[in-house]
Amino acid sequence: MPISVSVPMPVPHLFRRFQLVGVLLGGLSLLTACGSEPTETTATKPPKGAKPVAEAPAATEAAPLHVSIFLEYSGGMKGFVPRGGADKPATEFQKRIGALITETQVNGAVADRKYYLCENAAPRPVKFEELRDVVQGEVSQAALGTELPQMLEGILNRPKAGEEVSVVISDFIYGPARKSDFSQLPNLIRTSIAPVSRQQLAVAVFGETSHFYGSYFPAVKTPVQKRTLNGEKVPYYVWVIGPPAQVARYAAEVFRNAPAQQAFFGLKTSTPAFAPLLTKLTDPKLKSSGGTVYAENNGLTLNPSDDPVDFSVGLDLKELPAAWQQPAFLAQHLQVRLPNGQASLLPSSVRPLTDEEQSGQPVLAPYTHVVRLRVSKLAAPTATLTLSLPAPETPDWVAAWSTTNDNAPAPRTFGLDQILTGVRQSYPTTLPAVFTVQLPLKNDK
Amino acid sequence: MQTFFTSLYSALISIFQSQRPADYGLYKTDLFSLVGWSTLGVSLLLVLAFYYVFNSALRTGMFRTPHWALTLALTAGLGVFLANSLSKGHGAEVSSYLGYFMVVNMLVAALWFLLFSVLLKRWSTYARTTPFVGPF
Repeated sequence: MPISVSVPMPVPHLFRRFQLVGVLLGGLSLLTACGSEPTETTATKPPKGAKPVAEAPAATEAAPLHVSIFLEYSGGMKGFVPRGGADKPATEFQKRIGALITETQVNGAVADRKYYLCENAAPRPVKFEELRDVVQGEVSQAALGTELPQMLEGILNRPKAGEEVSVVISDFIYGPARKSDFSQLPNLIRTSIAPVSRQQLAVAVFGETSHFYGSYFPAVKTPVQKRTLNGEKVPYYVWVIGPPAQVARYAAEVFRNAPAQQAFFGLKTSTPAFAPLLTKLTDPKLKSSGGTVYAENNGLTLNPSDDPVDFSVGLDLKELPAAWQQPAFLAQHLQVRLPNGQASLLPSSVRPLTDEEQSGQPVLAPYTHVVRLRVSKLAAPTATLTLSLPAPETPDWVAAWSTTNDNAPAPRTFGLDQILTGVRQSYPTTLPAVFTVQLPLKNDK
Repeated sequence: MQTFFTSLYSALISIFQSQRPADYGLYKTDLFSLVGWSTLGVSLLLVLAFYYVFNSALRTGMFRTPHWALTLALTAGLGVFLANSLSKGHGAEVSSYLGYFMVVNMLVAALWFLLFSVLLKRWSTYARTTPFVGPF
């Protein structure tokens, strides 16, 4: 193959050649310019297919919590806080509440904290050390105590009570001076916590039984007005009242070792981070299966006409109370709705992500849980899939822990069901969902 | 043009595989037009090089059909390479869909090469009848 470098060619000839090529190139670039116009407009659309879709607004750092802790310190509470010693183990109350006030004192999620003792008058502010002394039994005298509705009213009627987290620790035994008040128990509670109803605050109730050493004052005063207990177990409760997202955060981040008996009213979290997981997954179980599904413009495009489409979604549920983060609870309560279609939560598909998965697959890092959804029908060209956690109704343990006669001490509280009915009535008949996330779907034709 | 490339490629790939992959959104928004334009450009460059550099500006004697076929093969190969490297570079996952995309882009590259050859060969000094005479 002869390769000659010097080309004997007349200059005008060569020039003509290049001119021609130039014209051609010019024409082509013109074509390009016309054609690329729509390309540019689509390119400027912020949501690209590859990016995680339907992402919740970037999780802004939640505002730190303002917490006030109220310990009812009446004669009836004193038995929970016997003066201990090396030979006397602390009561459950002392362990749990000691840990709770310590966590509140040191936890970074809490911006400022105040402590109060609820005696017979208005709540008395105390220093952390003084409260701790009370919990470990280092203070001898206790006051007469106030009636439950008055105590709650005094706590919630403080200015700014609706903007911060109030923690009430008490046995919640209702012993009114006027016997006729018993008949109005739910209404009295509801009235006393009126700010809960007006400002739609959340109430979290934690219950536990604890050994009790001392005078026990039952609500039902016959046959005896008071008994001296020596280690029998009776219940006490921790109520956390405040704006829904703050109560959720306090329960999840500060009251981490909460007792098993929990009830939440009006609890709502901020919209959790949520996205379908389609790409950059190493775990084959997380990959989509069935018909076509891909991410596009903030949502999913899918085609379930031949095969139902299965795909995983990531959720950040760290704001939920620990009990609600359990896969079994979520599997039972999470709700999937798809108008103009059919979608479901695959059985036993809710699971928490391990630390290895979160750090090993960057796409999973923002989420604490994965859930697998199945879309088996999509009739409309577009539809919106909704995944929500409806608020559970009052749990069953409340009935089991209630009694109409507490004269003989037992791990039950007089009228607990009525007290919590009063709380429940502060909310609409249908409780608002704890959270709701949405995912736009498009039919792939 | 993006719509053109998207329909061209997805129609051709669906001959091999109708199911779209989970990262199809990436193909649709980025890869089809990126790879489409690059392939078009590379084909054009090689056509220009063949007809106007090696067979007009230079007199290399490489005007025969085998030379042309070799350049076409090179274009097709570059089509495969472009589809593969650009897709992976933009985060596409290794999948059968990517494989078929490479195959399809090989054909598309060859097609562009043929098209540009037919359009541009008549102004070449030494190769105006390669690979065939006409049509204009």
